[in-house]
Amino acid sequence: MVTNEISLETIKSEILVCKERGYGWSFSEPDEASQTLLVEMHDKFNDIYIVFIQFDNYKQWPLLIDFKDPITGEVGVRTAYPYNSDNFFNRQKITICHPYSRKAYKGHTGLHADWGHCDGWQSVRGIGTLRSLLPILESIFIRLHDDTYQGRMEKRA
Amino acid sequence: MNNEKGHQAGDEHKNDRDVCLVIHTSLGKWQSNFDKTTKVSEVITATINHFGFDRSGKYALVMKSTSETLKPERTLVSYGFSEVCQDVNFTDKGNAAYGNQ
Repeated sequence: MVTNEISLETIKSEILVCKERGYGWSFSEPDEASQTLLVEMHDKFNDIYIVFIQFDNYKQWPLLIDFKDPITGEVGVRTAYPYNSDNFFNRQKITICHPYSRKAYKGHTGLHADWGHCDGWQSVRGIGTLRSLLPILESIFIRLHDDTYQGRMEKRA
Repeated sequence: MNNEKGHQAGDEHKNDRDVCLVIHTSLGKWQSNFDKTTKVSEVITATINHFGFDRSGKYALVMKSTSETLKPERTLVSYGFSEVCQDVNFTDKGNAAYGNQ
């Protein structure tokens, strides 16, 4: 297991890399006790998305990534998630469909039980370069700005 | 398109058909000149080759100043790029591994 202190230091160093890239994302102070972090980013219509990240045991485990509804504060609900026509954001399981997403593994939503235990996330086929916070957040951000973007996964009532 | 090793902006090979891009990637930064008529998809391919990214990946170029995703089929000149170097981010989009049920 990775200690909370080490995972915190890892995520802090990766946040610095993100800030250097200049996308204008806002980062909360990562919390050592809860091992959580919030990242705010805007879509192309200036709507706010809040990415909820749990980084315990990182990088032995992938990040547990979810979205927090900026109005209700609920985490992991469809109104918090974006949606794109490429199915990157899975509507049924309400999770990101990529090997960097702990939520997609067995023991969580189980969307991809075929990927095995999340310990092996960095060697799952299709992981590509998405092994650290910057490319992971980029893969979300780019979908908020491209032609496949369809707004929120579920419109608010 | 210039060769994939690229030319530094301002070097003697630069001409008025060139545009200058500074391409930021997870493996570092690459400044290169491209012909104005070069398509975005060709710049993506050149970047893949330059850094040795996995060719089966799905990548995109994003204008750093506006966060606009550049369309692969469009030319650089259609975005108003010029000899003045512009920063673009090269991103790995990842592939959705499982369709919606």
